[in-house]
Amino acid sequence: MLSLLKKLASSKKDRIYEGRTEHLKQFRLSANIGDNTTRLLDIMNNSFDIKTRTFKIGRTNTRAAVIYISELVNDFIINNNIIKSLILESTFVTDKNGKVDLDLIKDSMLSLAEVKEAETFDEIVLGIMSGDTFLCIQGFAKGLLISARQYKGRTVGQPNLEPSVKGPQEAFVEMLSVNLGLIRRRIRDPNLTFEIHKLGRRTKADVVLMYIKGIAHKDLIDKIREKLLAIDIDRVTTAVEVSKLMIDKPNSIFPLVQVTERPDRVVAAMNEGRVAMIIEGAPDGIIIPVTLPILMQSPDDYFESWLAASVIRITRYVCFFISILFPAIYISTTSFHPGMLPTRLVLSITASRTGVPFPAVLEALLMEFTLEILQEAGIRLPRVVGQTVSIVGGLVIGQAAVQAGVVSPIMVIVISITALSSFAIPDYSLSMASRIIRIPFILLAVTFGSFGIAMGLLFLLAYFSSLKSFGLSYLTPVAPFRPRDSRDALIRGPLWSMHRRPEFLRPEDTQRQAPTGRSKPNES
Amino acid sequence: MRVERLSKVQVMTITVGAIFGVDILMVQHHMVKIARQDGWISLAIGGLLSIGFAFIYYLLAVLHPDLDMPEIKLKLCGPFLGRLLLFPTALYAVLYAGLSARIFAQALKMFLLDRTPIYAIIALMLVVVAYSVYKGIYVIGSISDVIFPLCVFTVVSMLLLSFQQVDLDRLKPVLFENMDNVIRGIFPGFRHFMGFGIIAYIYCHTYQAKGTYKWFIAGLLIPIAFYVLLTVVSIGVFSVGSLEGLIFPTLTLSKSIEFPATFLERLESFTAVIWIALVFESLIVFFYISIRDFSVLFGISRKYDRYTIIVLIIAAYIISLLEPHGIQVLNYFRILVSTYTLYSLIIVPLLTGYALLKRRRSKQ
Repeated sequence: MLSLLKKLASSKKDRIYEGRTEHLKQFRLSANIGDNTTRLLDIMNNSFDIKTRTFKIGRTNTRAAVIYISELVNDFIINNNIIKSLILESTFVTDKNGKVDLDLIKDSMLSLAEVKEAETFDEIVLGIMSGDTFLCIQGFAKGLLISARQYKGRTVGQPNLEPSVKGPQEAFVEMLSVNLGLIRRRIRDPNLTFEIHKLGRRTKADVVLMYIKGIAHKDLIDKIREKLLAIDIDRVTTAVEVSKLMIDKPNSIFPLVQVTERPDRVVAAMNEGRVAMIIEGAPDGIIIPVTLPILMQSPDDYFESWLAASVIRITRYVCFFISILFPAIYISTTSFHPGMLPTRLVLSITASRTGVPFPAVLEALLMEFTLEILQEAGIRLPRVVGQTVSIVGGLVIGQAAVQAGVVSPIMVIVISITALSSFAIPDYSLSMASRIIRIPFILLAVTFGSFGIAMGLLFLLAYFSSLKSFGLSYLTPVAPFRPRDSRDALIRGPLWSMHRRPEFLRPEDTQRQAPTGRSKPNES
Repeated sequence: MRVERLSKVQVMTITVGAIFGVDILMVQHHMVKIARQDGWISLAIGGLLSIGFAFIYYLLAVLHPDLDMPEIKLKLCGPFLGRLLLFPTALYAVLYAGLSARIFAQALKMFLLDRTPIYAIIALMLVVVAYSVYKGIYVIGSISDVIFPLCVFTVVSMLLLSFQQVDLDRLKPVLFENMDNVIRGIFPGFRHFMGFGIIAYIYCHTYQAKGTYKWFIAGLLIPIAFYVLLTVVSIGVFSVGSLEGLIFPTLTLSKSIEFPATFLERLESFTAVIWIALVFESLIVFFYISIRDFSVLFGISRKYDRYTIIVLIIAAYIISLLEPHGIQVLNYFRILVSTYTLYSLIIVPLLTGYALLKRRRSKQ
């Protein structure tokens, strides 16, 4: 029995670690080129996109082979800078005795920026899979991994989920190198650090942690790195997916990391002392840690006057509450407290509900459900058809439902305002969370009226207060209240007044600008 | 690692939250019953006296910066006597919370939810309270940070909006042949501010920086100012005679504010949300106190003390529903607060004096 259990446990362990390449570490290259290529092709299951070219180096009889994945490399570089050089310019690569010298090839022949020696199969396989070209020469128990990568992908475009009226209009793409370039271009500081890690037993995706050394707190970086390295999974494709494995409360419907597709946003966050993470193959990055006030900020806030930006930001907060509470308030007012409304309004609401067969709560839930269907359909369908859906859904169904007496016109107005308000929330995940918690509020309102709504809000407040994003309270700097950091929370203070970085992020360099922070007015 | 502590601002907001509570709904009624039109004077004197006693509590906490009140009692008086002194406080906190919940549920039933049963109102309130208290003192601090500005805004707005209805003649004659009543009202006035005792429970969780005392006193001065102003305005609006008949004058005052030309005709449903928040905050503070007291009483470590909330919430729920008559509940509440105030006035100065003496001896 015990042995069976042990066997089961060991087989489970084997299954868990399936897909790793670490076990290849023990296998080293042999001096025989034929054995090496055969073995490499075997490991990679002789996939058709793995190309091998065997040739002789110049006039010597020494055979060499290059192995690469055709879709991940630049053919021109391989042909001209590797194969052509080795076949035609052999005089540079032989020593006094006329034997091929690997060091000479590496140092004098290959005119490529990144060339490194490799001896074990794990690093060679990983290199080839990542887009490197492996050069293997007869008689040498080591080879060269040459970087001639060229990933094909789309060009830098505009942000889809975080559009802004003013400011930069660039968004991340799927290629890591391009994304890193977008960041580097904006911060010409040698302290900008990119830390690369491999993640996923099978995908082995390049995950890059980005921060500015000297600004981001060391504890925060260590904590994120520790959580990142603790992940053991076979596949990751996006940074958001990685973040779900790192956060303390994975069941929270509220976002505990900030997802962004804007490099300018990442740059601004790193300048505050936060840490960003992007991953090869995904057009979005994440910023850690995050708070609710940060999620309510939009890039546009910083391109307008502080007064205008503050008004807009307050409007956004109002929209957040409308998107959560408006149907609940409507139901509680009409069902429990009609006395607080002016008599004419009460009469108007009553008249509009005449003939509607459902109670207000059912009406609200029905409309909510319809709205969710419309939103889902709008996302899934192609853009051209998506517009038709909004016309059919918004106008035809809405109007038809009112005319058929299924819902009242006032309910259509309530749900429309609620939906519009949820679209005004700058963060998509937060907007989605507001859509979800709207339903419990409706149920509380129909059971307990405004008391139910108040209790729901207090529960939400307690929940928000207990949420933490990598150790940072979710309501900071509002609660715990930090007057100095509040200049960029509920309102957006003048830029010149924000001469210190937010203290709640504990930046190592607290000073952002000189206390005066602005150019002096002209003296005339 | 980030060390979580309560800020100075949170010391103020928690103190305000502990003092407010159901008292804010009926303080005027209570004071006018004793000192008639001069009730606000008794309240002001009681408030000023409470500042002196608050200093004694603060001193006791400062002398034991790593301990809270139940631990201090045990340290100063030993395990047996300490527990004996602790028991009344623990009992008081849970009784206070239960009776507060009941009184507030009655007020809600009277003004907002006439068809909803009291047991359902209390049950919902206590569930949310239990969740908040379970999350710990730092979450309580954050909650008070958010509720505090809303409460200040609401009370100030209500005072300003109802000021046009105030008839100052109703406050006259000031101190005319009423001195005895004013003096008699000082102690009841004082006991409305007994929530300041929370400092002895939270000081060990603060940064203990300079200026904490100022913020603590600010947290006491704000309720004093609000209570006195509410009493003045309520007397001015309703007159002494009417006020004696109103059990929850604050709610009646907010109901009396009308906006004939605007979208909302009456504000009481919305202001009720703020009163709910205020009472909620007071409840979570008192449940926190009872958690700490009972945990120390039964030797439960800090790590697990939050689990006692399950028992305490059930106890408070039962207490809140024991008495069928609402008026009787109000009487019990008054007797409870008065008795505990007397107990504290004797015990806490004695403890502080003993702690000072002990300190001097150890220095020598």
